[in-house]
Amino acid sequence: MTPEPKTKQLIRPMSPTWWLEKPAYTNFMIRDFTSVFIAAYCIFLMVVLCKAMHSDAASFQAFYASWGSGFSKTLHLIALIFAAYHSITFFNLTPRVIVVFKGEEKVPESTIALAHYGLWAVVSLVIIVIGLWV
Amino acid sequence: MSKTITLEVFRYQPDQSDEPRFQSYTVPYREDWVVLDALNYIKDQLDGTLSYRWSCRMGVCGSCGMMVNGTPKLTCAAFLKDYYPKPVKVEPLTNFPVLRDLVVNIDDFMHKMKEVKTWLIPKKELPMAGSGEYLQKPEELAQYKQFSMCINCMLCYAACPVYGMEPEFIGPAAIALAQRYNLDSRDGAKDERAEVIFSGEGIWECTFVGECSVVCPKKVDPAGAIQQAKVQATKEWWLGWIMPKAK
Amino acid sequence: MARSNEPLWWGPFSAGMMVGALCVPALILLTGFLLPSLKPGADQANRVQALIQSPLTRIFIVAVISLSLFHFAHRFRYVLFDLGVKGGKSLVAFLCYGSAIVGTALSIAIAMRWI
Repeated sequence: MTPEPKTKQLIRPMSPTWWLEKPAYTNFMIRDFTSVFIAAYCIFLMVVLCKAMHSDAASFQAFYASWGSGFSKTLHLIALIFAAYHSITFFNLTPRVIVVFKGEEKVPESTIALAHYGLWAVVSLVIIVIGLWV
Repeated sequence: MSKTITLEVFRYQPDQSDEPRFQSYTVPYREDWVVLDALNYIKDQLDGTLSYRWSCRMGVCGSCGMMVNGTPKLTCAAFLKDYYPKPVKVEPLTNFPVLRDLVVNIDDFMHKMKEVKTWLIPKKELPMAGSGEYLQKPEELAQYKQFSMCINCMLCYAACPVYGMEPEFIGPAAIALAQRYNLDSRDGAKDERAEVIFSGEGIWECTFVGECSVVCPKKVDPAGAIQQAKVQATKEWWLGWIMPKAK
Repeated sequence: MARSNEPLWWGPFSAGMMVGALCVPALILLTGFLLPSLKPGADQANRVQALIQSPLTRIFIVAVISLSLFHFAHRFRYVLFDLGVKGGKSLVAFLCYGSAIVGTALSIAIAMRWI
């Protein structure tokens, strides 16, 4: 693949801690690690699904009550911070991937990002309303 | 006493030593000087042995890219006043092998440009040379214009940690340039390029760190080009399974 | 060189990125804070259980779980590489995507009451 060098040359290998060397690299690493916290929350969702499908009313009530514990709230808070970080970084990047032309003009990046934020707000509202009042 | 500024310059002279070192030079400080002016001053007045590339000194040729205080920059566009009075550290572009001082080996990049065919391959040749033009509407030009601004300065490769770890990665500029021709209404070689840029060494290596686009002096946004290509490749792949005849 | 089969993973990965970004913060807000604070008590617990048992909610929850796991699998595979784990590329891929496939199968089985 890469052509062989004809002269002596100096190779400078990358440090394994390269991602600590620039804030932008560190933010990238945090962004990619959000997926771990989202997956961890999905394990909880799996437990919720399992209990809802298999438990009788009384034991689901006990399980439901445990969501209000300080322990549960702490874990939820950590997950929420990382999930929100994922959402924000993701929506900010969408205009770079989804490019829409209107004739010669590109639809402005801010319009595409705002459309995604709008969609986020609507979806969130629907989920919360259904969860609380249906 | 007129003002001065210190440049800490990376030196590698393989004929003298295998080890690189830093050498400090004190040069006059002028508000309208860029790092390249300071390097030229060193070369002309202080130390003729310093090697580096430059040509147009106006942000077009793309040959004077170096690390300035750790960030890939065109030295013809990096003003001393943005660093003064602190010293300025000048190093060769990271992720590339160093040949001498600030000169890096760009064979790999040239090779990759050739591999992805960063030139126009017309859909059909006009019957006779000079018998007409390949016409294009402004809205067709707009599709690829941004990617055509690339000056091959390789700052994006120096900013890309994936290229640093995996030199086989085709890399930001070459993929952006492939897209520049893929999106051109006159071009017909999309499928040929796809064999390279949609391969394991192409777009899939990219994790969208995004620094390539941050350092790009021409706002090409190679990171965006790569993600757009991923979406396109994924659509084609799944469509190929769902309706194999559509292709 | 040939075209890679990476889209097989990148498809669910990108869908998971989108679904995770749109739905997960609201779900966390709901189960972690809004439900326990605003609607504690057995009455709401019964309603939440009934809501989850409805087929549409089950499809939604399974989709969120599955796509988020594929999102995790793909990112984690690359994160390990970025952190310098260079050996065993195919083992890493097998473990990452394997966990997403197992998680998906498991959540479908739970939702269908197969287990």
